Amino acid sequence: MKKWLLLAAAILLEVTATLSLRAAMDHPAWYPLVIAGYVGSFSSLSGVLRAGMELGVAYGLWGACGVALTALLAGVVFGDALTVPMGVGIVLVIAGVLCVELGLQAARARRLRTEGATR
Amino acid sequence: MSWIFLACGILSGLSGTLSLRMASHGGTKKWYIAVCTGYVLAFSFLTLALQHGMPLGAAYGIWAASGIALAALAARVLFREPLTKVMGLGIGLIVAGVLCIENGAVH
Repeated sequence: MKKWLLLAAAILLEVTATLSLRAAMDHPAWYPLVIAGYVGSFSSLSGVLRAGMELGVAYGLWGACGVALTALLAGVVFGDALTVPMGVGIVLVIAGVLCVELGLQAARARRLRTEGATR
Repeated sequence: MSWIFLACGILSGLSGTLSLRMASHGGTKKWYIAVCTGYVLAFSFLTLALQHGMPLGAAYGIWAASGIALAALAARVLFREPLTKVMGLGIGLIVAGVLCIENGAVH
């Protein structure tokens, strides 16, 4: 449970930093939040890995959710256009995240079974 | 030329990501130096790719998507993490999704 909370924090901090970077283009006062956001995000991601989540899974979920959420929120906050290809992309990312998660659960269950059998 | 910079950006980003895994799994704190160097280099190479005329959506989309796919493959090889067919399909969908989002955006 702890690793999922840390992953959520890492994603939210990344999105905050990226949106601040967009805001800093017009108002440089946002740069401290950009730096704090990215440093916090990588620290949380490091915590996610320490808590035992696989790198391939954690980095995949973190990167993809960050890109999708940033696209959605840039539309809300800055009124950036959300085009049809972007909508398709967000659906693909969600489907991909689900596949990774389901595949991982199956792989973990299988690993547990084989470990149980050899014991 | 911009493609060579993008490739360097992807590889240095991947080194940063793999170093983050080393740093957080009982490795020495020195790995965090590699993490910082990797990501600083990655963003510098991305900037060079943009300066040589690559559009932001394409550059960032390809960088992020390749990073995700390569990290999953490298973790399978280096750290023996599980990577099943369903997970491979998921990584493929994520890569396609990230590319759609970045290239569908009006920059």
